[in-house]
Amino acid sequence: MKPALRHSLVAILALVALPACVGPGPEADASTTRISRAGLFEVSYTSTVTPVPKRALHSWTLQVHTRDGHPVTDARIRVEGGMPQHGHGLPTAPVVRAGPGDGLYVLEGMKFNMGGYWVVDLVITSPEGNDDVRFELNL
Amino acid sequence: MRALVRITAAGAVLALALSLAGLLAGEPAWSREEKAILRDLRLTRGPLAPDPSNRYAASEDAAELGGQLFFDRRFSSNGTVACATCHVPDRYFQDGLPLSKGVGTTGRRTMPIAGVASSPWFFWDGRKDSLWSQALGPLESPVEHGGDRAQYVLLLATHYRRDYERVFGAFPELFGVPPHASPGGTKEARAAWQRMTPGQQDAVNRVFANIGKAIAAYERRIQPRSARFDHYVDAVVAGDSVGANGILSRDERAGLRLFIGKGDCIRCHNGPLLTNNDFANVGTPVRSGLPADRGRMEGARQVMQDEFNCLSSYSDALPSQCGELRHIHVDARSLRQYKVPSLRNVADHAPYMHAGQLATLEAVVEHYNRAPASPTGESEIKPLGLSVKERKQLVLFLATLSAPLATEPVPGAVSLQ
Repeated sequence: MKPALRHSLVAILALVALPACVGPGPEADASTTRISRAGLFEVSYTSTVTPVPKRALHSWTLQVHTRDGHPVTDARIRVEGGMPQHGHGLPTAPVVRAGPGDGLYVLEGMKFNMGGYWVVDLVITSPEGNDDVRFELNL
Repeated sequence: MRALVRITAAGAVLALALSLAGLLAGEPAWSREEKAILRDLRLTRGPLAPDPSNRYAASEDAAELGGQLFFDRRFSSNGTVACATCHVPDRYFQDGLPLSKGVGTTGRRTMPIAGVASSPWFFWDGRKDSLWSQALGPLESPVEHGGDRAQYVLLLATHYRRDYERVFGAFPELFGVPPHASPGGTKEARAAWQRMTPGQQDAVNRVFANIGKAIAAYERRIQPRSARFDHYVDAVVAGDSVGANGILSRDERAGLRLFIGKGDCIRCHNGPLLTNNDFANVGTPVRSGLPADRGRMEGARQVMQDEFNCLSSYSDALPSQCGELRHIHVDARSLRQYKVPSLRNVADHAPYMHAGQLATLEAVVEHYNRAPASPTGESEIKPLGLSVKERKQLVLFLATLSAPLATEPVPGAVSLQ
């Protein structure tokens, strides 16, 4: 390819690549393991459907440990969340029940009814203390 | 070889130049995020969503029976109303009227039913949680079919016994079942229902539920087809921008950009059917002459108590398969929320909104643009600031979602129009 042609291509590519049209919205920290707000727990989730689906009911498995690695049993976990940018909550009322092992819980009834930036807050009440943790998702 | 390189390079330059031309003319290329959104909206062919509450949903025989029942006017109080009276096949299975007209006039707009099988909720207020259970509602509504379940079960035994038994097994013993009886019908029908034994009531309820399951098996086959919009996305995803631009006009493409951007339409109208299957309060005005309407707030209450819901003994689902009902969400914001309808073929579905309050798509776009306060409850939409030209472009885009429906002919079925 002649240098002139190559330079033209590079110039055109640079111009075409420049405009970013619709912004992706806030960038989610999509970590599936987070430390709770006051630092009491390390909490992780695994979706039963991967990637996390849009418009389909599914479940998460939660793992809750103390910071020194002990499973947190007998916790009560309430689920909140939604799309802060749009001012609405979750479209369903998910619930959490004890799961198949120490520190494991099953979050049932999870659903996201559109793509975009979502947050899921888990409010944890346990003999080890009370704390909450936020997960962010960009669907 | 050198010639091939030259041709390829020239082609690349031409394609890039076209993109640049588009850019300079104010039409940027779709970004990676936008392409992901477009792919999410594209109609895809795949197996229908299963309905564990209806074990006959995929049965050919059930669909054939259901199709015949769908068109049978005898299943009404005066012999003039069938499902197809309002769900007119030649009109995308809706009637074009602001309010449905059966034996009387309802307070709601007939919903189009193409693709509805994949929805977790039915009716504008979601007061039913399966297609088969939905089909039972109008049959006993005093302003729709106007009849009662005992009447329908006896009709079925007389005219469709063999077809019924091929799908559902032996007809139950109906000796002593009165000609008209229902727990929710007229005073006389309710009294007759009370005089029936629990065994008779259960037998009638079971056959009545199976009528719904057969009609649902038929309705599941009514599906939207790929429209110009889908062909456009196919071309965009394939990287064929020249081909894509031959499918949608410049204004239609601009309308699509508004749909997923400034217009914020995809907030609710997302996915291949352009609905999130949820409920929203968009400040739709009251239609004069109708009683107060609480929308989803009332629908949620009704579906939780419904005698034919997913958790009922007439459902074929395990409780664990009734997740939508078990995790139903209702709060103060549910007041005057209505179902987000699919936008497939929306240009052919006037008038619009849950009681046909808005006559044209132009009026709908203008409504969203102004975002008036809700008569009750809280509207979820905000003014959009769309110019006259942008509103026109949005309407033009919506017409690209039209395509003939995919339906299979039902033997013996005759259009009512």
